[in-house]
Amino acid sequence: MRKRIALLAVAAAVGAVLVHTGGTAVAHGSMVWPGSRTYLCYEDGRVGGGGGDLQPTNPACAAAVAQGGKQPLWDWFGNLISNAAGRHREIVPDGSLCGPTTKFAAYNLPRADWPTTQVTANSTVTFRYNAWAPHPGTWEQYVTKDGFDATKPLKWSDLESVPFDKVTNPPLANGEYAWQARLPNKTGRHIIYSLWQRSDSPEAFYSCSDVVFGGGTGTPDTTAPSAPGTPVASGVTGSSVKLDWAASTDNVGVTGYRVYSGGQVVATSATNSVTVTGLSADTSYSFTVVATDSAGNASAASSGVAVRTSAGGGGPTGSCTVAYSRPSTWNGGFTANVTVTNTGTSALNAWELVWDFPAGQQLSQAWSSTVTVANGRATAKGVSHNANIAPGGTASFGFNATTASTPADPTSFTLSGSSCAIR
Amino acid sequence: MTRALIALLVVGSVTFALLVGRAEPTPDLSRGVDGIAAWLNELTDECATVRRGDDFTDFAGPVRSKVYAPFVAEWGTCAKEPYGRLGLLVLRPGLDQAWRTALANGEVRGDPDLAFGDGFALTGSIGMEYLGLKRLECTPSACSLVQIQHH
Repeated sequence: MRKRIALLAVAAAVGAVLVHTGGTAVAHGSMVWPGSRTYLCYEDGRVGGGGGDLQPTNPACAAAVAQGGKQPLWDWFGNLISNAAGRHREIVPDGSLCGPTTKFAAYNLPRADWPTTQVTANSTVTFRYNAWAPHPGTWEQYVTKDGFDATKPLKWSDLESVPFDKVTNPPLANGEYAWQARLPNKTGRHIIYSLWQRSDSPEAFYSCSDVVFGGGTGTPDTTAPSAPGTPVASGVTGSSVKLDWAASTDNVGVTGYRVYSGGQVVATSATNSVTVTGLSADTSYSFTVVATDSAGNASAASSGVAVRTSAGGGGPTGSCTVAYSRPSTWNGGFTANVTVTNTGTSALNAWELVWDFPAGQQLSQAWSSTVTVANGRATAKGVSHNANIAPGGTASFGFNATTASTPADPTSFTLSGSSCAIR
Repeated sequence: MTRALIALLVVGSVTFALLVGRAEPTPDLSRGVDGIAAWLNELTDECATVRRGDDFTDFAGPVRSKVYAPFVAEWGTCAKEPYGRLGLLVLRPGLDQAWRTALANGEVRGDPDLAFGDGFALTGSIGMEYLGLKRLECTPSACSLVQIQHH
């Protein structure tokens, strides 16, 4: 039964190949060079969150998260309207071009401090667009008119009337569509507005890429930077490592570096040094670095450096974590939900979770666990369906309690004698 | 060549039909979010660990949280490619009416951005059709569940 979805996808793909109009491929995406607001804010959030949570540091991205939550960034490639069918100007009102649905509305904020990509006017560049599966469609790229003001809501009339670039069914490789385009003759701050209208579905995708045009010679820059030197690791802790590498060279100029681990960008840097944070203790990593230039050219990856983080100092200290929440609190009582996660490598059988249960609280009901209270401590044991927790697995239970005062959440848990991290 | 392609099409179609026909009906919602995660894990081998305790408004933003949260009995997230965090929501009845009201008040635009099952929803949009989930299409006067098209 496992992998059924993968099988479904395979079966669906077979249909897609053979029956072109069937269009069974799943498609989602957004411009990654020059980066769309959602993509660059996602990357900013990943770096700010140390690779775990999303904590953007760019002020515009942080404002967007405050307004729209983090979910749009976890779904940065899903800025779409399902039934657009080419009716973009009809159904997307002025001021909503960058985020036409409620979910992405925060990415319409009229601000000048969105993350930008430096580009060269009149140059030939490689546009890159994230994709999860191939399918037919047409991309149109518009640029804002001269005099565009990023601090005002973006209107359709702010865009040049015709796209400066249009492509149908561009080549797909490594999860990205990539095609060459000649940038328009602009100077300063602008938006490149990309519309992707699928031809096998009414679904359309929208993205705003904030760019700064510099002067150009008119000569296309298609030369990638040289590969960065092999990173050298130092200052290894349980949760971070500092990496330095020999800088790349480029015929125009290197604009930044991306640090990868396991195929994911874990850090970005404008210089040849960065501290990667948010790592797990006592874990092996391999890091490589890629250099980029202002035309979107990416270098070959550097050789990798293997790093093993130290034990402790940033990661959970036991083989378990506990999530404790109170979804409901009322005058005289509360409901608590508890989830225990086995973070170790062996099963936790017949587990027992113990925590302080203050005087004044009385257990009234428990579910998915047998909970007893004695001597100021609560002990929860699993029931038939969750008595054992496989590595990486969880067991959840809940209880109701009465209380004479404001309930205080437990500050420590012990699972079968081992202390658990709290998340 | 043509004959081989037709044969492959038939095999693919039959395989697809069989798998859809045998698709896992629903999660065990008596286990709450864990039931959704277990169902998803069974189908995809992902979503093994449920993350809880995050603030729903922090995740969905205040506008959507105002509409959704009163109808979310329990929620959590898990990792399922391509989502670093995919929301798993156990729902109470009434979300459709709340969305319509918000639409009428101009607080939201378009349709809810969730993929709906019976009594639950996921926050993703990729691959939801393979899970048998549906979209909710709404006007201020009515909402209807529609099958998500195979793209």
